[in-house]
Amino acid sequence: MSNANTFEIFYSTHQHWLYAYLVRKLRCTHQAADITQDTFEKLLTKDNLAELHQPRAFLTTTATHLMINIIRRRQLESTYLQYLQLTKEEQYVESPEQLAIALESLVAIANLLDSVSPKAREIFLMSRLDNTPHAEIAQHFGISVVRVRQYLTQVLIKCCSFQQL
Amino acid sequence: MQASQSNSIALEQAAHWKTLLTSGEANASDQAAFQAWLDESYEHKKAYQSVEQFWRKFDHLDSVSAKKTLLKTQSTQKIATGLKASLTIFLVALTSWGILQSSIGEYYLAEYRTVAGETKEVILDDGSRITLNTGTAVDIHYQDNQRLIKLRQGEIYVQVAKQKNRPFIVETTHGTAQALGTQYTVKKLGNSTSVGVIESNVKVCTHQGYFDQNIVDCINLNAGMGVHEIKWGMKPIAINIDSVAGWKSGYLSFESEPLINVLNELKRYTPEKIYYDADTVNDLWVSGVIPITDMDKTYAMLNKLLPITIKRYPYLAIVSKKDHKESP
Repeated sequence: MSNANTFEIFYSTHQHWLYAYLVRKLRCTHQAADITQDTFEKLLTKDNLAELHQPRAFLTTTATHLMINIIRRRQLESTYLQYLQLTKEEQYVESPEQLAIALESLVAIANLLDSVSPKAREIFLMSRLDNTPHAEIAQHFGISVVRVRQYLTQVLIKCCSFQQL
Repeated sequence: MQASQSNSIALEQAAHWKTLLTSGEANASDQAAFQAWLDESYEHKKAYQSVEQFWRKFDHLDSVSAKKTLLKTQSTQKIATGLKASLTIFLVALTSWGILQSSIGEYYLAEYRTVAGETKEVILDDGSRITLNTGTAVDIHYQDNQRLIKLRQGEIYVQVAKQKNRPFIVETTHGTAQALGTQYTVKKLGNSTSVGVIESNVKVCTHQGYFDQNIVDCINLNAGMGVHEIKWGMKPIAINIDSVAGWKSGYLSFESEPLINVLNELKRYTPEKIYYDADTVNDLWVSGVIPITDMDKTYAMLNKLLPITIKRYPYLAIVSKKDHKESP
């Protein structure tokens, strides 16, 4: 059975159920419809749809991840834009392209930094974004420079190994 | 197993090197040692490239705003916990973490908006008419000395009522299109604005300073002419009025247009998701007139013109090339 057929069967079997579930939980037909479609779109290229033990649990998990990502993206965009407005002079206008690239980078970085402790995150951002010298960071946190470097290296390792996947 | 072990060792080493080289305390012999390490193997190069890739992501950001943002926003864990408690938090989050001045914000804050597949006609105080195409957002700023239409996003067709002392101007982030006569279209999608003149004359200018020039660039367009993109050094081109304004009459006109482009254009006109099998449909071309007011008719026409199969579900369509083996 071709992948396309498997997907169609999967879709017709579960689409309405997922939609009804989301309508119940979200109490909004519009959002429920959007999330339902986005969820199935994500699964279009997935293998082994027919072999899922608990397709409905899988669907709700996928839908939930989607919603988490949407919320996070909105938070990042909204917060970044607010700070940008405060930081920049009045005449400054970010081109839409620059802004789009910046927001994409922000989301990617936030996702990668998720795997890192809050302290490590702060140390890394002080170094990479504020360009604070290691000695100063060490003093700020009351730790040794060697320890600071360990934190920085760990962050790089964690974030880059995710990239490689 | 051995390959991935040495890969992770290489990554650790690359991370150490990056930290040292960016500490501000690396000297010439450190540089040399790093270069020697880099040259040692392809693995080392790959590992360092991966680190560089992550490092470069930060170049696109305003440092101060980015740092505050990254330290402030919730981790996905926290959001997940909130969602577990109740999914309606999703809706609250959408409105409260809302959409200020992003391009999405532009759309939501506009005075007149259309959704996917919708067209809307607005009649203004002076008798001018603006028809909004799918996914469009405009603001009307009629003042004593001018009539200004701000096109935030999308596509409009304007029919201008003549008024001697009040010039009629359509404005986007890229420039302006001023009516010297009566009928034209302005389209702003993504990074550029295009203009097409159906009747009479339009003067198109770039915004001062937007294209990094201190003076503006203007051209005059007659009926049947347009610009593909408002920018410095723009040149007028002949337009096919059907292709440019057909949507106002409920259809799109194509001439030897790749199907993929046609499908991407159709996506603007419907909230449905259109998915296509890129490998098989990339050698199909569309010439003809496609209705856009009713997706049933749209797909029927595509089916007529091309050897394709379109499978439809609520809010989803899948387009693929007809298999020779399948029965027609």
